[in-house]
Amino acid sequence: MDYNNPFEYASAFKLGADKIVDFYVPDYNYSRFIRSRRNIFLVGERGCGKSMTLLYNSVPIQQKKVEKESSKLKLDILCVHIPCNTPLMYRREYQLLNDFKASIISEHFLVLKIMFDIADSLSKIPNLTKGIDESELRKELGFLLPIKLPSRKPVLDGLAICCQKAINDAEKVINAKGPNVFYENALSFSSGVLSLLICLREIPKLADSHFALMLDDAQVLNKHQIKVLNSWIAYRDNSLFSFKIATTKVDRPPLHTASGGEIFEGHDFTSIDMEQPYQNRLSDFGKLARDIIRLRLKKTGISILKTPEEFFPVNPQFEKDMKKCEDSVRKEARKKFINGTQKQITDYVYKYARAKYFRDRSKRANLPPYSGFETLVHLSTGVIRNLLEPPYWMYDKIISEKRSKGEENPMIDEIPNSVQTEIILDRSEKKWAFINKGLDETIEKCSREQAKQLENLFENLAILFKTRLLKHKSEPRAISFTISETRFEHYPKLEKLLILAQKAMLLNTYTSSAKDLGKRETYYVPNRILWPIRGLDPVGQHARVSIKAVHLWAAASENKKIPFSKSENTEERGLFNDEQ
Amino acid sequence: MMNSNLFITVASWEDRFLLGFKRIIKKSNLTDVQMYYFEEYAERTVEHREAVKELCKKKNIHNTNYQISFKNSAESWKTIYNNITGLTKVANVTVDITTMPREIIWTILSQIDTNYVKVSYVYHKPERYDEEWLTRDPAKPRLVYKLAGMTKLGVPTCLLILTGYDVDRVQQLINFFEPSTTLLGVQKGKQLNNLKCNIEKSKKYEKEPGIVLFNVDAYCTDHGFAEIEKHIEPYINTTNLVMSSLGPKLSAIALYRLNRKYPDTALAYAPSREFNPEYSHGIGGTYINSL
Repeated sequence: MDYNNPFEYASAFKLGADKIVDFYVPDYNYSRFIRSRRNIFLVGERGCGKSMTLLYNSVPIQQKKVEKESSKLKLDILCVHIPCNTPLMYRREYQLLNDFKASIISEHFLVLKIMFDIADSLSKIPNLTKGIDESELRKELGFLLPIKLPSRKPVLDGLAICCQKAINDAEKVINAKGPNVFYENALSFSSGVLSLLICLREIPKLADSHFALMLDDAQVLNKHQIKVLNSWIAYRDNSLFSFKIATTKVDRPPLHTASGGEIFEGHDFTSIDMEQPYQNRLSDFGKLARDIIRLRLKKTGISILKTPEEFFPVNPQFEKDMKKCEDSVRKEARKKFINGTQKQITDYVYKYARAKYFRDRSKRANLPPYSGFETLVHLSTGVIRNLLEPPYWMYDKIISEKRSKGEENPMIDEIPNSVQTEIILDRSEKKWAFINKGLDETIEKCSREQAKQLENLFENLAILFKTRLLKHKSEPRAISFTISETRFEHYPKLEKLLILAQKAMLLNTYTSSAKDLGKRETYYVPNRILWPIRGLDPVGQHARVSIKAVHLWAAASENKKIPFSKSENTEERGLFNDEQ
Repeated sequence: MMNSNLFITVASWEDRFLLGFKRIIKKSNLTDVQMYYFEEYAERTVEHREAVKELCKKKNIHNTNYQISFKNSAESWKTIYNNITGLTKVANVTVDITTMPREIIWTILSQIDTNYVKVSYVYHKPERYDEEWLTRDPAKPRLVYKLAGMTKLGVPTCLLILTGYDVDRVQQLINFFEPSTTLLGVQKGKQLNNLKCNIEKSKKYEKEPGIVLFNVDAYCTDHGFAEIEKHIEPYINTTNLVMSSLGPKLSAIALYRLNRKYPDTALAYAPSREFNPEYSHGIGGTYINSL
């Protein structure tokens, strides 16, 4: 694709430094924790913005940013981005060795990777070593580390080259034919990273710097690397360094240390859930989504003045019909609550107006004309990549059409509502095709039986939500659920199934307070892009359906409908009480 | 007339495994057969293994069986290593790649010391593949022991995938390695339902950002080596290049040769945990070539 699609949704790594600076929205989320001296875990599935957050805060991107702003980089906290999803971390030769040797070689690779990224990142800071005698620093590094730095290169560039060489030296040995080949000159965290950081503090400009070592995709590290990493996290003195660990929720690494201990949340680290629960204009994610789209439109020069709502207009007929429903429901509310408060009326309209629109549609009518920025935010289910994906294909469609008509540099100042509807329905259909084709073909460790069970489960959830939308008395638009009565023999199987659904990006989870005694409870939110092709309303309401584990399991394993009652089965949340 | 001494194979329940073996022993004077079989499919392959045993007995060929497993790849690697090193006294080795997982093909070929041994490979096409499904339940992709190349730090990953009939597994590999560029080599031709099951399905990647499609022919003399080389060349020195094949088995030979020519590149295997008992039917043409 040879044009600049503003809604590029692939990995943050592909965006490049300029776009990361331009597109990143630093507010409304937890990225402020990155620039702290605490150990932090950023947890969330693919596409929720972990890498973008780490990359934005990294030294090279911050340097780029200050250059653009003609300001100066602050050196108090230096964030070093350490991507773990590289072929180096996938090497498996350690499995041919005994545990002791496996642990040593695994740590060696991780240490060198971290050292390389530190050197590479700091080398992007101009004039960092200006005014100091680099040969002295070189000598000191040579004394502390078992490496000989090239004298003709700037010290940090030379250090990066040495790390590269050291890794390749070890790989050469490891690649040799025999099973027990082992690299003797391995580095540990203290002999490698710690020595390097101490040495770097000798650079006057870094004398008071704190190094935030940001390991991205830490779930790919092997078990030995996880254990040593946890041991380093357990290192209590965070004056010199701290860790920021980004990992997926499913497959999140265990918390054991190399010495057999464990690290504890609150004590050794703080966890941040990067998946955002709600989407409306007032929620954090709602604001974030709006800023992301607004910035992308502005920075790519596509639409400087238009708001996201103007760029993604709502179908006017839909708007008109919805207005009619609201008026009608408001009238109904006024009759029902003769001396009622304004809040009672507003809540009633909130609950039933949209439901009325979906209920009153003729059975023969086409699917609703899904469109508008708000709809896109709801469809994202709180995942940034999901937010950008439909707009990417909408934009691509219009550009392709204009080009096929001979326009060389087509301008787009809005996405017509018809194109929005077409792409939303297409993406929704594709998501179901992904489920129906059999998740066992793409999702790791998903058996044929589980793939079928997941297909049944989502099918029955769709039926339940549709039935509720058409018939439920109090919470017709609830499209998230919690699980009750989990003391059930097949619950572990159900849990496994739900984890597979998370892996497949079909289900999001987050914890929130339950009604009973403030207990924390897991909320399950199916990916809302599933709903348009089923004629459901992706704009859910602040309620979740409480479903018994036995019923969910029967839906999955026997394709039984989930029981529905017109008035029960739902727990309402306060309108905004769960919003971050 | 072939002149091999040692024949290495992986037992399968597919027709072409036994029919192919019969073809080979008719034409050659084998002295030894090393037959590996997977623990996970031991029951399914027992009949064919017994048949091979009988055939070897009749022809006075020394036959040894070794159990390996998908779930314990380290132990399997060691088993192969122990059997392959020290083959210096064997003049010729023929590796039957027909029913051999790619990871095992690469492991065996890389362990044979070609300074002493002449290596050939043999491949029997099936008459047809099952149309419903071939493999399911994919496990985590993995780099092959000792063939994971030399890492370049600070550069992106480029992923080469030769597509096959399970086109959806392409996405699994992309999700796993998260490459900046993906090169998709799609097998040419209408043979064995390739048009419907591979070419048509691969088209969905045409418009995906960061994906480049090209055609390749694993059934030509070099098994696609030159065509693949042309496409990977710009990425060899600038990326960490990972190569994987989901396509025709013969393409594994091309990838192995490329890995040997460019040792910085890595070979990756995408395992499946379930194979169709009706994976293929009958036997077609046979390819024999030296490595």
